[in-house]
Amino acid sequence: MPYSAGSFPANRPLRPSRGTRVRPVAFNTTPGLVATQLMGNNNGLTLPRLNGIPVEHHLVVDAQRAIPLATNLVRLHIAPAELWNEARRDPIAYIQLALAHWIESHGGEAIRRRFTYCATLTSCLDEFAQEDKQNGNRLYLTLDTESAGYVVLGPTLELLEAIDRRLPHTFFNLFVGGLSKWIRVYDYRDAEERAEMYREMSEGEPNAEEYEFPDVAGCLPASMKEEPLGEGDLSRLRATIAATPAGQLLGHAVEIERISNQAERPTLSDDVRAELSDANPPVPGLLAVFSISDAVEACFEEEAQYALETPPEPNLIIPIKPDDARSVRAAFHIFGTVCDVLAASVRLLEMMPGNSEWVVSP
Amino acid sequence: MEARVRIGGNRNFTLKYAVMIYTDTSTAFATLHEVRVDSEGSPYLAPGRSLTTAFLRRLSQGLARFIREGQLSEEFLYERDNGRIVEEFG
Repeated sequence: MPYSAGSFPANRPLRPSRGTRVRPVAFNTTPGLVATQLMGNNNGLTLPRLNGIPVEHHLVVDAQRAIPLATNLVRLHIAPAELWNEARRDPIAYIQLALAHWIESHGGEAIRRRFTYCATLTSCLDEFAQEDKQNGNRLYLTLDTESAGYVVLGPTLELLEAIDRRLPHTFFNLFVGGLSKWIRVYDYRDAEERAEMYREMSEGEPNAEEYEFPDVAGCLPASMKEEPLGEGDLSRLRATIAATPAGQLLGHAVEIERISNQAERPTLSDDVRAELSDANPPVPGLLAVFSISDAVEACFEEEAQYALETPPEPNLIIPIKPDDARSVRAAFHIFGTVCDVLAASVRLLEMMPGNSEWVVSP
Repeated sequence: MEARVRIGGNRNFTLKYAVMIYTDTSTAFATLHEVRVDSEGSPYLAPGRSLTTAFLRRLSQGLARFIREGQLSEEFLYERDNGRIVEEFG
């Protein structure tokens, strides 16, 4: 039934206060009358069309940061201007498309096969903050993951050890070192730290001898205790084995280190550090074990149970001043380098023996 | 790798309904029409239905934070949870 609004006639004079009067909503409703009965029936009276009327409105609350950033992305040729139409003239949508475009041009497809990273351009580092904390004219490009990639190092290290006992440690430093400059890699060093913490915690216990701890040192290949090759020795050795599978693996690891050195990790200011003071360590982007279910993995599994008790800090935080072209260029250069390192790591992972599994997105 | 943007509190509003008000010199009623889009992308009004106070409540909540809860006009009309209109005289 239609709702009659007869209770507020147009010219009713105001009267002195006399309290309130309560009436049901249905008061004055005309029985049996519906809207369609009040309209013409097939006599040319039809419901009006709305051609030309916009059916969407976008409210951009933070345009003072989004628009200068979008402008700089176009001027610096980081993103094509054509995305503006695809973004339906929304600066926030444009920035998102620009970020996705940058990722795709820096190995996005390869990265997705082994990593579940998410790049976020944000004005606030605390995802769960009730209100957006204004950080002046500053944005952050962050890199987060909800799960770790997985690599089994053992078979590769054995292959390299057969050529030179110092090659496994050299390979590990090139690959894991180049990657962990940008993302958190959980390796035997994290596991040793965790196992040591368990030992210290058990020392005061009355039945300390009953505790068992993962034997991290025991799962470490002997070749990892060798000194890594120097730059000159490595170059000479690479020249002799370049065409072999081991040489190709080594070549990819060298490439990861080379790309990684194309940028420097940004230094975070004290106020950013303070904002993250209650956060847990970043979720590792990669778990590097020597063999499946070894002591490193056992420590990782144990640590993972508590890793999300409080929100973890991102793997990487790149501050951006959206209206400063140099800052935008520098930030996207760093981010592009990180994507290139991740993509090169995926290419290496897919060559490493014993790692055909653990593809997250074929 | 997924790309996200989280800057401020941006919103997208879509035209979903239109209110048609019919009146003569003394009485009025209103109908609520869904806005649909035809195959060519042009919006049009679907047949109307009665305007309910529940809809008005949602609308008033969404219109602005500055409107005091339940207030429908600056003169007299208020809506309460019992579904009645309370008329107050100034």
